[in-house]
Amino acid sequence: MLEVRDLHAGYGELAVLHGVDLSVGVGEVVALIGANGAGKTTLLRCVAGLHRPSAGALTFDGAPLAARSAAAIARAGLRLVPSDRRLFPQLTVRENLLLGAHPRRVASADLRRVTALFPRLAERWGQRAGTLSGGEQQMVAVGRALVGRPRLLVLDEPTTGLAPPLAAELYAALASLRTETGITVLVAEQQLPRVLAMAERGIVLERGRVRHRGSSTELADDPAVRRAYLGVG
Amino acid sequence: MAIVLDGSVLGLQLAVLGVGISLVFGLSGVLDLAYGAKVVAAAIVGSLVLAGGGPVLLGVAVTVGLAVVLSLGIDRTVLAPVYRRHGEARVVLSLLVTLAVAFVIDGVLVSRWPHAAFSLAVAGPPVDVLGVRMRGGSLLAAGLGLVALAATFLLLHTTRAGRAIRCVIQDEEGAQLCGIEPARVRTVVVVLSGALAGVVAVAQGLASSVAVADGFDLTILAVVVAVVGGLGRVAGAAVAGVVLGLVHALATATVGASATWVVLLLAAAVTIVLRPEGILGLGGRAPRRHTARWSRRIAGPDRTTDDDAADRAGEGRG
Repeated sequence: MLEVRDLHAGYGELAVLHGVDLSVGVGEVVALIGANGAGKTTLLRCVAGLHRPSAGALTFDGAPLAARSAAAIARAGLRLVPSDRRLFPQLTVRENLLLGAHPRRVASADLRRVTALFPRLAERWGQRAGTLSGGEQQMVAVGRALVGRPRLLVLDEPTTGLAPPLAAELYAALASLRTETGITVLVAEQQLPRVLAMAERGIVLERGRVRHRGSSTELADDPAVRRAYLGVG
Repeated sequence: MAIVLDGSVLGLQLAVLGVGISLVFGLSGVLDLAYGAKVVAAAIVGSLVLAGGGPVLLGVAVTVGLAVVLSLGIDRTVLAPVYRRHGEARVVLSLLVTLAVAFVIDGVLVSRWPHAAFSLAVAGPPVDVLGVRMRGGSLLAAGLGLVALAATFLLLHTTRAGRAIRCVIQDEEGAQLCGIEPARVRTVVVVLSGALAGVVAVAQGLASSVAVADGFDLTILAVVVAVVGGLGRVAGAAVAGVVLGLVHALATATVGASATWVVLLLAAAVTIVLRPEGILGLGGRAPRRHTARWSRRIAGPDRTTDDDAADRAGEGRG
Protein backbone atom coordinates (compact mmCIF):
# COMPACT_ATOMS: atom_id res chain seq x y z
CA MET A 1 0.00 0.00 0.00
CA LEU A 2 2.83 2.38 0.94
CA GLU A 3 6.26 2.00 -0.60
CA VAL A 4 9.25 4.09 0.40
CA ARG A 5 12.37 3.55 -1.73
CA ASP A 6 15.82 4.90 -0.96
CA LEU A 7 14.46 8.04 0.65
CA HIS A 8 16.88 10.86 1.38
CA ALA A 9 15.73 14.00 3.13
CA GLY A 10 17.12 16.81 5.19
CA TYR A 11 16.94 20.46 6.10
CA GLY A 12 19.29 22.63 4.13
CA GLU A 13 22.81 21.32 4.69
CA LEU A 14 21.69 18.86 7.32
CA ALA A 15 20.88 15.41 5.93
CA VAL A 16 18.49 13.50 8.15
CA LEU A 17 17.49 10.43 6.16
CA HIS A 18 20.14 8.48 4.28
CA GLY A 19 18.31 6.06 1.99
CA VAL A 20 15.40 4.58 3.89
CA ASP A 21 13.35 1.68 2.48
CA LEU A 22 10.00 0.84 3.96
CA SER A 23 6.80 -0.82 2.86
CA VAL A 24 3.43 -1.19 4.49
CA GLY A 25 1.00 -3.76 3.12
CA VAL A 26 -2.79 -3.58 3.23
CA GLY A 27 -4.10 -4.41 6.69
CA GLU A 28 -0.69 -4.37 8.33
CA VAL A 29 0.39 -2.51 11.44
CA VAL A 30 4.02 -1.47 11.13
CA ALA A 31 6.00 0.10 13.96
CA LEU A 32 8.67 2.68 13.23
CA ILE A 33 11.05 2.62 16.14
CA GLY A 34 13.81 5.05 16.93
CA ALA A 35 15.23 7.45 19.46
CA ASN A 36 14.80 11.21 19.29
CA GLY A 37 16.60 12.49 16.23
CA ALA A 38 16.55 9.16 14.41
CA GLY A 39 14.48 10.69 11.61
CA LYS A 40 11.06 9.19 12.34
CA THR A 41 9.18 12.47 12.12
CA THR A 42 11.02 13.54 8.99
CA LEU A 43 10.18 10.22 7.34
CA LEU A 44 6.51 10.51 8.25
CA ARG A 45 6.35 14.14 7.13
CA CYS A 46 7.78 13.11 3.76
CA VAL A 47 5.15 10.39 3.51
CA ALA A 48 2.37 12.88 4.29
CA GLY A 49 3.67 15.40 1.76
CA LEU A 50 4.60 17.99 4.38
CA HIS A 51 8.31 17.74 3.67
CA ARG A 52 9.93 17.36 0.28
CA PRO A 53 12.52 14.58 0.15
CA SER A 54 15.80 15.34 -1.61
CA ALA A 55 15.85 11.94 -3.35
CA GLY A 56 13.97 8.66 -3.43
CA ALA A 57 10.52 7.47 -4.34
CA LEU A 58 7.24 7.37 -2.43
CA THR A 59 4.20 5.55 -3.73
CA PHE A 60 0.77 5.09 -2.21
CA ASP A 61 -1.45 2.45 -3.84
CA GLY A 62 1.08 2.31 -6.65
CA ALA A 63 0.79 6.00 -7.49
CA PRO A 64 3.76 8.31 -6.87
CA LEU A 65 3.25 10.91 -4.16
CA ALA A 66 5.96 13.36 -5.23
CA ALA A 67 3.76 15.68 -7.25
CA ARG A 68 0.84 15.70 -4.84
CA SER A 69 0.15 18.32 -2.19
CA ALA A 70 -0.17 17.35 1.45
CA ALA A 71 -3.89 18.06 1.27
CA ALA A 72 -4.32 15.86 -1.80
CA ILE A 73 -2.49 13.02 -0.05
CA ALA A 74 -4.80 13.40 2.95
CA ARG A 75 -7.85 13.32 0.69
CA ALA A 76 -6.48 10.21 -1.02
CA GLY A 77 -6.76 8.40 2.32
CA LEU A 78 -3.30 8.70 3.84
CA ARG A 79 -3.83 10.49 7.14
CA LEU A 80 -1.03 11.64 9.39
CA VAL A 81 -1.64 12.41 13.06
CA PRO A 82 1.44 14.46 13.97
CA SER A 83 2.86 14.31 17.46
CA ASP A 84 1.98 17.95 18.01
CA ARG A 85 -1.56 17.08 16.85
CA ARG A 86 -2.24 20.29 14.92
CA LEU A 87 -5.79 20.73 16.15
CA PHE A 88 -7.72 23.95 15.65
CA PRO A 89 -7.49 25.34 19.18
CA GLN A 90 -10.34 27.85 18.87
CA LEU A 91 -12.80 25.33 17.49
CA THR A 92 -14.76 22.88 19.61
CA VAL A 93 -14.10 19.15 19.69
CA ARG A 94 -17.13 18.65 17.47
CA GLU A 95 -16.03 21.27 14.93
CA ASN A 96 -12.53 19.80 14.81
CA LEU A 97 -13.98 16.38 14.06
CA LEU A 98 -16.38 17.75 11.44
CA LEU A 99 -13.42 19.13 9.50
CA GLY A 100 -11.77 15.77 9.18
CA ALA A 101 -13.55 14.78 6.01
CA HIS A 102 -13.15 18.01 4.03
CA PRO A 103 -14.61 18.66 1.50
CA ARG A 104 -17.15 15.91 2.24
CA ARG A 105 -19.67 16.14 5.06
CA VAL A 106 -18.77 13.88 7.97
CA ALA A 107 -21.15 10.93 8.26
CA SER A 108 -22.84 10.77 11.67
CA ALA A 109 -21.93 7.08 11.83
CA ASP A 110 -18.26 8.07 11.67
CA LEU A 111 -18.74 10.54 14.52
CA ARG A 112 -20.48 7.84 16.59
CA ARG A 113 -17.59 5.49 15.93
CA VAL A 114 -15.15 8.07 17.26
CA THR A 115 -17.15 8.62 20.44
CA ALA A 116 -17.48 4.86 20.89
CA LEU A 117 -13.71 4.60 20.59
CA PHE A 118 -13.00 7.57 22.85
CA PRO A 119 -15.98 7.94 25.19
CA ARG A 120 -14.42 10.86 27.02
CA LEU A 121 -14.66 12.98 23.87
CA ALA A 122 -18.45 12.84 24.16
CA GLU A 123 -18.13 14.66 27.49
CA ARG A 124 -15.96 17.34 25.87
CA TRP A 125 -18.07 17.75 22.74
CA GLY A 126 -18.64 21.51 22.98
CA GLN A 127 -15.31 22.40 24.55
CA ARG A 128 -12.60 24.25 22.65
CA ALA A 129 -9.84 21.90 21.59
CA GLY A 130 -7.19 24.25 22.95
CA THR A 131 -8.49 23.73 26.49
CA LEU A 132 -8.27 19.93 26.47
CA SER A 133 -5.57 17.88 28.15
CA GLY A 134 -2.82 16.41 26.00
CA GLY A 135 -4.39 12.97 26.02
CA GLU A 136 -7.77 14.30 25.02
CA GLN A 137 -6.21 16.36 22.25
CA GLN A 138 -4.50 13.26 20.95
CA MET A 139 -7.86 11.49 20.89
CA VAL A 140 -9.41 14.37 18.94
CA ALA A 141 -6.49 14.28 16.51
CA VAL A 142 -6.90 10.54 15.94
CA GLY A 143 -10.67 10.98 15.68
CA ARG A 144 -10.27 13.80 13.16
CA ALA A 145 -8.11 11.52 11.03
CA LEU A 146 -10.58 8.65 11.35
CA VAL A 147 -13.65 10.57 10.16
CA GLY A 148 -11.74 11.09 6.92
CA ARG A 149 -11.98 7.30 6.48
CA PRO A 150 -8.25 6.77 6.00
CA ARG A 151 -6.94 3.68 4.32
CA LEU A 152 -3.56 4.25 5.90
CA LEU A 153 -3.42 5.83 9.34
CA VAL A 154 0.01 7.27 10.17
CA LEU A 155 0.65 8.09 13.82
CA ASP A 156 3.70 9.99 15.01
CA GLU A 157 4.46 9.16 18.62
CA PRO A 158 0.83 9.17 19.70
CA THR A 159 1.66 8.76 23.38
CA THR A 160 4.31 11.47 23.68
CA GLY A 161 3.68 13.49 26.80
CA LEU A 162 0.71 11.40 27.89
CA ALA A 163 0.32 10.05 31.41
CA PRO A 164 0.68 6.24 31.39
CA PRO A 165 -3.02 5.51 31.98
CA LEU A 166 -3.98 7.75 29.05
CA ALA A 167 -1.32 6.19 26.85
CA ALA A 168 -2.72 2.77 27.74
CA GLU A 169 -6.25 3.99 26.99
CA LEU A 170 -5.15 5.31 23.62
CA TYR A 171 -3.42 2.07 22.64
CA ALA A 172 -6.42 0.05 23.80
CA ALA A 173 -8.63 2.17 21.55
CA LEU A 174 -6.23 1.73 18.62
CA ALA A 175 -6.17 -2.03 19.19
CA SER A 176 -9.96 -2.24 19.17
CA LEU A 177 -10.11 -0.04 16.09
CA ARG A 178 -7.71 -2.45 14.45
CA THR A 179 -9.76 -5.57 15.28
CA GLU A 180 -13.00 -3.89 14.22
CA THR A 181 -11.91 -2.35 10.95
CA GLY A 182 -8.63 -4.00 9.97
CA ILE A 183 -7.23 -0.55 9.25
CA THR A 184 -3.64 -0.24 8.00
CA VAL A 185 -1.40 1.63 10.43
CA LEU A 186 2.14 3.00 10.41
CA VAL A 187 3.09 4.16 13.87
CA ALA A 188 6.28 5.80 15.11
CA GLU A 189 7.01 5.10 18.75
CA GLN A 190 9.65 5.02 21.41
CA GLN A 191 7.50 3.01 23.79
CA LEU A 192 8.47 -0.41 22.52
CA PRO A 193 6.36 -2.86 24.52
CA ARG A 194 3.13 -1.05 23.70
CA VAL A 195 3.72 -0.63 20.01
CA LEU A 196 5.16 -4.11 19.47
CA ALA A 197 2.08 -5.58 21.15
CA MET A 198 -0.03 -4.06 18.38
CA ALA A 199 2.30 -4.18 15.37
CA GLU A 200 3.09 -7.19 13.23
CA ARG A 201 6.39 -5.81 12.06
CA GLY A 202 8.84 -3.18 13.08
CA ILE A 203 11.60 -1.10 11.58
CA VAL A 204 14.31 0.39 13.75
CA LEU A 205 15.67 3.68 12.51
CA GLU A 206 19.00 5.00 13.74
CA ARG A 207 20.46 8.28 12.54
CA GLY A 208 18.49 8.20 9.34
CA ARG A 209 19.23 4.58 8.39
CA VAL A 210 17.30 1.37 8.92
CA ARG A 211 19.27 -0.56 11.55
CA HIS A 212 16.98 -3.54 12.14
CA ARG A 213 13.80 -4.85 10.65
CA GLY A 214 11.73 -7.86 11.52
CA SER A 215 8.57 -9.20 13.08
CA SER A 216 7.53 -7.79 16.42
CA THR A 217 8.65 -10.91 18.26
CA GLU A 218 12.03 -10.92 16.53
CA LEU A 219 12.59 -7.30 17.45
CA ALA A 220 11.43 -7.82 21.02
CA ASP A 221 13.90 -10.70 21.36
CA ASP A 222 16.82 -9.00 19.60
CA PRO A 223 19.44 -8.22 22.24
CA ALA A 224 20.63 -5.07 20.49
CA VAL A 225 17.10 -3.68 20.23
CA ARG A 226 16.34 -4.64 23.78
CA ARG A 227 19.44 -2.88 25.00
CA ALA A 228 18.77 0.27 23.06
CA TYR A 229 15.02 0.64 23.48
CA LEU A 230 13.91 -1.41 26.43
CA GLY A 231 16.77 -0.58 28.72
CA VAL A 232 17.27 -4.26 29.41
CA GLY A 233 19.46 -7.09 28.14
CA MET B 1 -25.52 62.26 18.62
CA ALA B 2 -24.17 63.73 15.41
CA ILE B 3 -20.70 62.69 16.54
CA VAL B 4 -21.83 59.12 17.16
CA LEU B 5 -23.48 58.90 13.74
CA ASP B 6 -20.56 60.47 11.89
CA GLY B 7 -18.20 58.24 13.80
CA SER B 8 -20.24 55.17 12.91
CA VAL B 9 -20.23 56.02 9.21
CA LEU B 10 -16.45 56.40 9.28
CA GLY B 11 -16.06 53.46 11.65
CA LEU B 12 -17.83 51.07 9.33
CA GLN B 13 -15.45 52.00 6.54
CA LEU B 14 -12.49 51.57 8.86
CA ALA B 15 -13.90 48.21 9.88
CA VAL B 16 -14.07 47.06 6.26
CA LEU B 17 -10.50 48.30 5.71
CA GLY B 18 -9.25 46.53 8.81
CA VAL B 19 -11.04 43.29 8.00
CA GLY B 20 -9.68 43.36 4.45
CA ILE B 21 -6.05 43.68 5.53
CA SER B 22 -6.45 41.44 8.58
CA LEU B 23 -7.91 38.50 6.65
CA VAL B 24 -4.86 38.24 4.41
CA PHE B 25 -2.44 38.73 7.28
CA GLY B 26 -4.20 36.17 9.43
CA LEU B 27 -4.12 33.67 6.63
CA SER B 28 -0.67 34.08 5.22
CA GLY B 29 1.39 36.46 7.35
CA VAL B 30 1.48 39.02 4.55
CA LEU B 31 0.83 42.53 5.85
CA ASP B 32 -0.32 44.31 2.73
CA LEU B 33 1.04 47.86 2.78
CA ALA B 34 -0.36 48.36 -0.72
CA TYR B 35 -3.92 47.94 0.54
CA GLY B 36 -4.70 51.65 0.49
CA ALA B 37 -3.03 52.04 -2.90
CA LYS B 38 -5.32 49.34 -4.30
CA VAL B 39 -8.35 51.17 -2.92
CA VAL B 40 -7.22 54.39 -4.56
CA ALA B 41 -6.28 52.76 -7.88
CA ALA B 42 -9.68 51.11 -8.09
CA ALA B 43 -11.41 54.35 -7.17
CA ILE B 44 -9.48 56.45 -9.69
CA VAL B 45 -10.20 54.07 -12.56
CA GLY B 46 -13.83 54.10 -11.43
CA SER B 47 -13.76 57.89 -11.59
CA LEU B 48 -12.39 57.73 -15.16
CA VAL B 49 -15.36 55.58 -16.14
CA LEU B 50 -17.70 58.13 -14.59
CA ALA B 51 -15.82 61.04 -16.16
CA GLY B 52 -16.15 59.32 -19.53
CA GLY B 53 -19.92 59.40 -19.09
CA GLY B 54 -20.31 55.84 -17.92
CA PRO B 55 -23.29 55.00 -15.75
CA VAL B 56 -22.79 54.99 -11.98
CA LEU B 57 -23.34 51.26 -11.62
CA LEU B 58 -20.69 50.58 -14.24
CA GLY B 59 -18.27 52.83 -12.33
CA VAL B 60 -19.00 50.91 -9.14
CA ALA B 61 -18.61 47.55 -10.87
CA VAL B 62 -15.31 48.59 -12.46
CA THR B 63 -14.05 49.86 -9.11
CA VAL B 64 -14.82 46.65 -7.20
CA GLY B 65 -13.76 44.45 -10.10
CA LEU B 66 -10.44 46.24 -10.52
CA ALA B 67 -9.72 45.97 -6.79
CA VAL B 68 -10.24 42.20 -7.02
CA VAL B 69 -8.11 41.86 -10.16
CA LEU B 70 -5.32 43.99 -8.67
CA SER B 71 -5.40 41.98 -5.47
CA LEU B 72 -5.20 38.66 -7.25
CA GLY B 73 -2.66 39.90 -9.77
CA ILE B 74 -0.27 41.23 -7.12
CA ASP B 75 -0.72 38.06 -5.06
CA ARG B 76 0.14 35.82 -7.98
CA THR B 77 3.12 37.76 -9.30
CA VAL B 78 5.21 39.89 -6.97
CA LEU B 79 4.10 38.07 -3.81
CA ALA B 80 5.05 34.62 -5.14
CA PRO B 81 8.62 34.82 -3.75
CA VAL B 82 7.21 36.03 -0.45
CA TYR B 83 5.09 32.91 -0.07
CA ARG B 84 8.17 30.74 -0.53
CA ARG B 85 9.54 32.11 2.76
CA HIS B 86 8.23 31.13 6.14
CA GLY B 87 7.87 32.72 9.54
CA GLU B 88 9.39 36.09 10.23
CA ALA B 89 11.23 36.19 6.92
CA ARG B 90 7.86 36.12 5.16
CA VAL B 91 6.40 38.92 7.28
CA VAL B 92 9.41 41.16 6.75
CA LEU B 93 9.67 40.48 3.02
CA SER B 94 5.93 41.08 2.63
CA LEU B 95 6.33 44.53 4.17
CA LEU B 96 9.10 45.46 1.73
CA VAL B 97 7.40 44.05 -1.35
CA THR B 98 3.96 45.51 -0.66
CA LEU B 99 5.50 48.86 0.23
CA ALA B 100 7.28 48.84 -3.14
CA VAL B 101 4.00 47.96 -4.85
CA ALA B 102 2.33 50.83 -3.02
CA PHE B 103 5.00 53.27 -4.25
CA VAL B 104 4.62 52.05 -7.81
CA ILE B 105 0.83 52.32 -7.80
CA ASP B 106 0.99 55.68 -6.08
CA GLY B 107 3.61 56.94 -8.54
CA VAL B 108 1.63 55.89 -11.59
CA LEU B 109 -1.57 57.43 -10.28
CA VAL B 110 -0.01 60.72 -9.22
CA SER B 111 1.91 61.17 -12.46
CA ARG B 112 -0.94 60.18 -14.79
CA TRP B 113 -3.98 61.60 -13.01
CA PRO B 114 -2.72 64.09 -10.43
CA HIS B 115 -6.08 65.75 -9.93
CA ALA B 116 -8.43 62.84 -10.32
CA ALA B 117 -10.88 62.09 -7.56
CA PHE B 118 -13.57 59.48 -7.22
CA SER B 119 -16.84 60.73 -5.95
CA LEU B 120 -20.33 59.32 -6.23
CA ALA B 121 -22.75 62.14 -5.66
CA VAL B 122 -26.05 61.07 -4.18
CA ALA B 123 -28.88 63.37 -5.02
CA GLY B 124 -31.70 64.24 -2.69
CA PRO B 125 -32.17 66.16 0.51
CA PRO B 126 -30.50 65.17 3.79
CA VAL B 127 -32.25 62.43 5.72
CA ASP B 128 -33.27 62.84 9.33
CA VAL B 129 -31.75 60.09 11.51
CA LEU B 130 -32.39 60.22 15.26
CA GLY B 131 -32.72 63.97 15.05
CA VAL B 132 -29.55 64.42 13.02
CA ARG B 133 -29.59 65.47 9.39
CA MET B 134 -27.40 62.99 7.49
CA ARG B 135 -26.39 63.14 3.85
CA GLY B 136 -27.79 60.34 1.75
CA GLY B 137 -24.31 59.46 0.57
CA SER B 138 -23.06 58.92 4.11
CA LEU B 139 -26.00 56.67 4.92
CA LEU B 140 -25.46 54.65 1.76
CA ALA B 141 -21.77 54.34 2.58
CA ALA B 142 -22.58 53.11 6.07
CA GLY B 143 -25.14 50.66 4.71
CA LEU B 144 -22.65 49.37 2.16
CA GLY B 145 -20.03 48.86 4.86
CA LEU B 146 -22.52 47.07 7.07
CA VAL B 147 -23.61 44.77 4.25
CA ALA B 148 -20.00 43.99 3.33
CA LEU B 149 -19.13 43.15 6.93
CA ALA B 150 -22.24 41.01 7.38
CA ALA B 151 -21.54 39.17 4.13
CA THR B 152 -17.95 38.51 5.21
CA PHE B 153 -19.08 37.11 8.56
CA LEU B 154 -21.75 34.94 6.99
CA LEU B 155 -19.19 33.60 4.55
CA LEU B 156 -16.70 32.86 7.31
CA HIS B 157 -19.12 31.28 9.75
CA THR B 158 -21.81 29.55 7.75
CA THR B 159 -20.16 28.18 4.64
CA ARG B 160 -17.74 25.34 4.15
CA ALA B 161 -15.29 27.65 2.38
CA GLY B 162 -15.46 29.96 5.38
CA ARG B 163 -14.75 27.14 7.77
CA ALA B 164 -11.77 26.16 5.65
CA ILE B 165 -10.52 29.77 5.80
CA ARG B 166 -10.80 29.84 9.59
CA CYS B 167 -8.96 26.54 9.83
CA VAL B 168 -6.06 27.70 7.70
CA ILE B 169 -5.90 30.90 9.79
CA GLN B 170 -5.68 28.82 12.98
CA ASP B 171 -3.30 26.12 11.78
CA GLU B 172 -2.24 25.84 8.16
CA GLU B 173 -0.59 22.47 8.58
CA GLY B 174 -3.54 21.12 10.54
CA ALA B 175 -5.78 22.20 7.67
CA GLN B 176 -3.58 20.40 5.14
CA LEU B 177 -3.81 17.24 7.23
CA CYS B 178 -7.60 17.50 6.92
CA GLY B 179 -7.38 17.73 3.13
CA ILE B 180 -7.83 21.50 2.85
CA GLU B 181 -5.66 23.16 0.18
CA PRO B 182 -4.17 26.36 1.63
CA ALA B 183 -3.47 27.68 -1.89
CA ARG B 184 -7.16 27.44 -2.84
CA VAL B 185 -8.20 29.06 0.43
CA ARG B 186 -5.71 31.85 -0.19
CA THR B 187 -7.27 32.58 -3.57
CA VAL B 188 -10.69 32.92 -1.96
CA VAL B 189 -9.31 35.20 0.74
CA VAL B 190 -7.34 37.38 -1.69
CA VAL B 191 -10.46 37.83 -3.84
CA LEU B 192 -12.52 38.64 -0.74
CA SER B 193 -9.92 41.10 0.53
CA GLY B 194 -9.80 42.76 -2.90
CA ALA B 195 -13.58 43.02 -3.01
CA LEU B 196 -13.53 44.68 0.42
CA ALA B 197 -10.95 47.17 -0.89
CA GLY B 198 -13.39 47.91 -3.72
CA VAL B 199 -16.19 48.37 -1.20
CA VAL B 200 -14.07 50.85 0.75
CA ALA B 201 -13.41 52.78 -2.46
CA VAL B 202 -17.11 52.95 -3.32
CA ALA B 203 -18.17 53.76 0.26
CA GLN B 204 -15.55 56.49 0.51
CA GLY B 205 -16.72 57.84 -2.85
CA LEU B 206 -20.27 57.96 -1.52
CA ALA B 207 -19.40 59.54 1.82
CA SER B 208 -16.95 62.09 0.45
CA SER B 209 -14.35 61.36 -2.22
CA VAL B 210 -11.18 59.39 -2.86
CA ALA B 211 -8.22 61.50 -3.98
CA VAL B 212 -5.08 60.26 -5.71
CA ALA B 213 -2.89 60.90 -2.67
CA ASP B 214 -5.09 59.04 -0.17
CA GLY B 215 -3.39 55.64 -0.50
CA PHE B 216 -0.92 55.81 2.36
CA ASP B 217 -3.42 57.31 4.79
CA LEU B 218 -5.81 54.46 4.03
CA THR B 219 -3.07 51.88 4.50
CA ILE B 220 -2.02 53.36 7.83
CA LEU B 221 -5.63 53.41 9.00
CA ALA B 222 -6.08 49.81 7.90
CA VAL B 223 -2.94 48.71 9.73
CA VAL B 224 -3.90 50.61 12.88
CA VAL B 225 -7.36 49.07 12.85
CA ALA B 226 -5.95 45.60 12.22
CA VAL B 227 -3.40 45.95 15.01
CA VAL B 228 -5.96 47.27 17.50
CA GLY B 229 -8.25 44.41 16.52
CA GLY B 230 -5.45 41.92 17.13
CA LEU B 231 -3.54 41.18 13.93
CA GLY B 232 -5.26 38.48 11.96
CA ARG B 233 -8.43 38.54 14.02
CA VAL B 234 -11.32 39.41 11.74
CA ALA B 235 -14.00 40.08 14.34
CA GLY B 236 -11.52 42.15 16.33
CA ALA B 237 -10.72 44.27 13.28
CA ALA B 238 -14.42 44.95 12.67
CA VAL B 239 -14.99 46.09 16.25
CA ALA B 240 -11.74 48.09 16.30
CA GLY B 241 -12.77 49.88 13.10
CA VAL B 242 -16.07 51.08 14.56
CA VAL B 243 -14.46 52.08 17.87
CA LEU B 244 -11.67 54.03 16.14
CA GLY B 245 -14.24 55.66 13.86
CA LEU B 246 -16.06 56.94 16.96
CA VAL B 247 -12.77 58.08 18.51
CA HIS B 248 -11.93 59.87 15.26
CA ALA B 249 -15.25 61.71 15.17
CA LEU B 250 -15.00 62.61 18.83
CA ALA B 251 -11.44 63.89 18.40
CA THR B 252 -12.38 65.96 15.35
CA ALA B 253 -15.23 67.56 17.25
CA THR B 254 -13.24 68.32 20.41
CA VAL B 255 -9.58 68.89 19.59
CA GLY B 256 -9.94 69.65 15.91
CA ALA B 257 -9.00 67.85 12.75
CA SER B 258 -5.28 68.60 12.97
CA ALA B 259 -4.81 66.64 16.19
CA THR B 260 -7.11 63.78 15.19
CA TRP B 261 -4.29 61.57 13.98
CA VAL B 262 -2.46 61.94 17.27
CA VAL B 263 -5.56 61.03 19.26
CA LEU B 264 -6.26 58.08 16.99
CA LEU B 265 -2.77 56.67 17.31
CA LEU B 266 -2.81 57.30 21.07
CA ALA B 267 -6.07 55.39 21.36
CA ALA B 268 -4.54 52.58 19.36
CA ALA B 269 -1.43 52.55 21.53
CA VAL B 270 -3.49 52.43 24.71
CA THR B 271 -5.54 49.53 23.38
CA ILE B 272 -2.40 47.63 22.42
CA VAL B 273 -0.88 48.15 25.87
CA LEU B 274 -4.05 47.17 27.72
CA ARG B 275 -5.08 44.35 25.40
CA PRO B 276 -2.06 43.08 23.53
CA GLU B 277 -4.13 40.39 21.87
CA GLY B 278 -6.47 42.89 20.33
CA ILE B 279 -9.63 44.59 21.38
CA LEU B 280 -11.64 41.39 21.77
CA GLY B 281 -8.89 39.46 23.52
CA LEU B 282 -8.76 35.72 23.32
CA GLY B 283 -10.99 34.66 26.17
CA GLY B 284 -8.41 34.67 28.93
CA ARG B 285 -5.50 33.23 27.04
CA ALA B 286 -2.01 34.45 27.69
CA PRO B 287 -0.67 36.86 25.03
CA ARG B 288 2.27 34.57 24.44
CA ARG B 289 -0.08 31.90 23.11
CA HIS B 290 -1.56 34.33 20.65
CA THR B 291 1.75 35.29 19.15
CA ALA B 292 2.73 31.66 19.07
CA ARG B 293 -0.50 30.88 17.30
CA TRP B 294 0.09 32.88 14.16
CA SER B 295 3.82 32.57 14.07
CA ARG B 296 3.57 28.82 14.34
CA ARG B 297 0.92 28.70 11.70
CA ILE B 298 3.02 30.46 9.12
CA ALA B 299 6.24 28.99 10.35
CA GLY B 300 6.14 26.21 7.81
CA PRO B 301 7.72 22.81 7.99
CA ASP B 302 11.13 23.91 9.18
CA ARG B 303 9.84 24.76 12.61
CA THR B 304 8.38 22.24 14.96
CA THR B 305 7.32 21.56 18.48
CA ASP B 306 7.45 17.80 18.31
CA ASP B 307 9.82 15.38 19.90
CA ASP B 308 11.82 14.70 16.82
CA ALA B 309 12.89 18.31 16.74
CA ALA B 310 16.45 17.08 16.97
CA ASP B 311 15.94 15.86 13.42
CA ARG B 312 15.96 19.43 12.36
CA ALA B 313 18.37 20.83 14.85
CA GLY B 314 20.52 22.26 12.08
CA GLU B 315 17.72 24.28 10.58
CA GLY B 316 17.46 27.98 11.27
CA ARG B 317 14.41 29.44 12.89
CA GLY B 318 13.59 31.80 10.03
